[in-house]
Amino acid sequence: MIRIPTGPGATLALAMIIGFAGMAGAQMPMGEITGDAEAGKQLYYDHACYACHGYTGETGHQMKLIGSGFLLNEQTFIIYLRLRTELNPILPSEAMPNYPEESLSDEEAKDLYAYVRTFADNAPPLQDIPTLNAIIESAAEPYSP
Amino acid sequence: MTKSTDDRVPASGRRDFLKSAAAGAATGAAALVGGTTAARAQQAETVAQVAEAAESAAIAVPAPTEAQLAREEGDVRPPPVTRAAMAPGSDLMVDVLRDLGVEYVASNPGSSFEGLQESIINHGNPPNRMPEFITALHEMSAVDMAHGYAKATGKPMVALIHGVIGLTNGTMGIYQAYYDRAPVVLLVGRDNTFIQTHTADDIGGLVRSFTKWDAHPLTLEESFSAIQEAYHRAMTPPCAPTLVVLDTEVQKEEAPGMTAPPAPGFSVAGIDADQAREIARGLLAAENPRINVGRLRTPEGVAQAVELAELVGACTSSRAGTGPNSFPNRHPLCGPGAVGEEYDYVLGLEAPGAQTALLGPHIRTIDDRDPTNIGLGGNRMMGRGFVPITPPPGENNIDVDAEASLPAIIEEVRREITAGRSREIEQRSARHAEVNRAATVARVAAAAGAKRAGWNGSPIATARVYAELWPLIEDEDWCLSSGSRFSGAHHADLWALNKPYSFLGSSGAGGIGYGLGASVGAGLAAKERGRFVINIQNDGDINYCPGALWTATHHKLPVLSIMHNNRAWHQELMFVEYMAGVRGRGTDRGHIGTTLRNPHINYAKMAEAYGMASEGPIEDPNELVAAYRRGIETVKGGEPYLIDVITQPR
Repeated sequence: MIRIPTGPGATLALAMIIGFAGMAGAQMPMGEITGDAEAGKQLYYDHACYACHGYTGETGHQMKLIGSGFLLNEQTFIIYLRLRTELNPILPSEAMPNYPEESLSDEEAKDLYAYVRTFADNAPPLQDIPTLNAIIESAAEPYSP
Repeated sequence: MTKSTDDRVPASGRRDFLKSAAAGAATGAAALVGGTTAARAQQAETVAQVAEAAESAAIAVPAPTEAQLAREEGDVRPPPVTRAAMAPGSDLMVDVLRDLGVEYVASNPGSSFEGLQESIINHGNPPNRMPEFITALHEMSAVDMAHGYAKATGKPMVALIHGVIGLTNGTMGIYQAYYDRAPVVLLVGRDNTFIQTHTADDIGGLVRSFTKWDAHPLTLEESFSAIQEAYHRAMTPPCAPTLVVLDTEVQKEEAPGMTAPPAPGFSVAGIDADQAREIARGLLAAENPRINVGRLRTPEGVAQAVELAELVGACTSSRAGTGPNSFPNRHPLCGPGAVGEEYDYVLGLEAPGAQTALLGPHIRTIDDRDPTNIGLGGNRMMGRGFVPITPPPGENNIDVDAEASLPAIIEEVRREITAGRSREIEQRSARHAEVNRAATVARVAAAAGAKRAGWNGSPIATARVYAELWPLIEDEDWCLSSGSRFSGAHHADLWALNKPYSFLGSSGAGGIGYGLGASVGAGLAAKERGRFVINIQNDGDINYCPGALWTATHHKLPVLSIMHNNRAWHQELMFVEYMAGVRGRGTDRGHIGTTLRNPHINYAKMAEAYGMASEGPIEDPNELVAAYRRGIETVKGGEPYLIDVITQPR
């Protein structure tokens, strides 16, 4: 189990770690994957992660693998899941639920992380989407009431 | 004497209740004869329920008679009191509605307005036109239809409702129309001689907290003036639903030699000439004037706002992405303008303005109509509705309807403008147009880049649901009828919203169940106007009153419904998930009570059951365009169509 330190000092230290990881995420190599992505896919669905991030992490609140300190490795991911909302107010936010050990074990969180790491930016280049190019061209057309 | 809500004391004792007191449920049941055993058992149960209700109320409410029950149970033989009507008063009510320009009356039948209903469908040449009777399958649908129609046209249609029980069903729709400032006229039938649980002394009191005005006329003449007043009050800002209770006896009253009175003149007060002159001079003297445009009342107001902006060469803002009757968002003057953000005169039309803001009365001004003291949240919280409660510093707000003020301002501008100033304005407008066009293209291009996310994914990205529509409709006359917040509001980023009815906005109070009914109402507006309706239909919403699908089919309304089928009340799923996280338990159980799975609902088959052409569910985004083409072809041919699309949550 990932042990979450307690107390004001630990809180500050954790916030700094995660914050630093966030700032440095673009440069730091992504951590090792030990979980089962297939099991993580089911957990992603069961715990309604898709509700905010879409079924593939691409829509809604998109998951950015590159540059995200929270997704840097399993440890930062699990700490981020645990430190949400009123119960663990290091990162108080209503933007994402808290996932305590009682709801999601470390092993499950690692599976979930493994699945999240499969996410990729599948968006085609803009020039390859005729519909969106037609919409842009349409915006340049003269006004028609 | 008309009993309006200005005198709150309900009429009592004006009509005699049934003299025939209940002989008791058992006696009533035993007296029933004929029909099947099952039917007799059902009738007996009905009698028992009514008697029980009367007993529990501890009042001397008479139970219905055998004849009444037989009629309620479907015995369609005319009541024995029926006589040939030579000149029924309800015919004249229809004349009053026609004179007001009411196109439609939406209703599901009730036993308190058969007089008026019969007149609508039979009186006039041709009958059942202006107004036409539109068959709804639920009172909330009827009110939602009137709500959507009002936003698409800027004027009311009628929802005809049966007594207490119908009005209770319609309450949610009325509540939403109230907060959406939609002019809707509600006519409520009242039969004080029939089943007592269907009526009340003061029916209007049920919804008085969220209607603008109501009346209970006691004579035929008063009914005419009450309907006219209800129409005009609904249209007078703050626009809102109004209600008239029509007793069944008044509807059936003979009116030989009587004619319907013509509708009295109707106008909304605007600013005075001095104020108009001051604004006109401010706009003309400025080197870089701006006009912020919020939501005006009618399409005519939008045309006048465009005229004013073009006259003075002002760049403008628009709320077209959030609701109807605002400035066209691709108009050359809509945007930041060429001179930069330093505007030296800003006029607000139902929107903030640095120098002057014309802000019509909000429904908050009528919140004294809250006799139940429930303290309506919207009135407490909204302040001036969509306008910030605290005006920007230096603002000179004038509490007056902006749309009604525009003619006077335009007149003053035309009087004051010189030939030289006109040339300068023309040059400035050309510069504005060039810069605004570039800004629009840049904004749309940025949005398009963002909409690529999940483009080829399945379930289908909501952005693609909207995007694929645009090339197919951009040269058509269309109206986006449904609220779009839950499906991403991508129209605001990608589409040109150049008509007052391009986007009708959301439900008003955030309630679910509005979308389909409002779209059918928009379809009524579209039918005779050569346009069609696009309804991005949330799955949670459609299940409240799906019977409106039948109304669209039956009346051949050009409504293309595209399901945003994420198989959930998605926002609530997120709320419950969040709460489970706060409490540290069961984050894998948030789907309970929030999702629409096991089984999945097949909306194409739902539409088919109501007789509507449909297809789906579609899960492959590459199948969207062909389905859209079929749908658009169908609605342009005058029939509704539904496409079930399995989508990402948002």
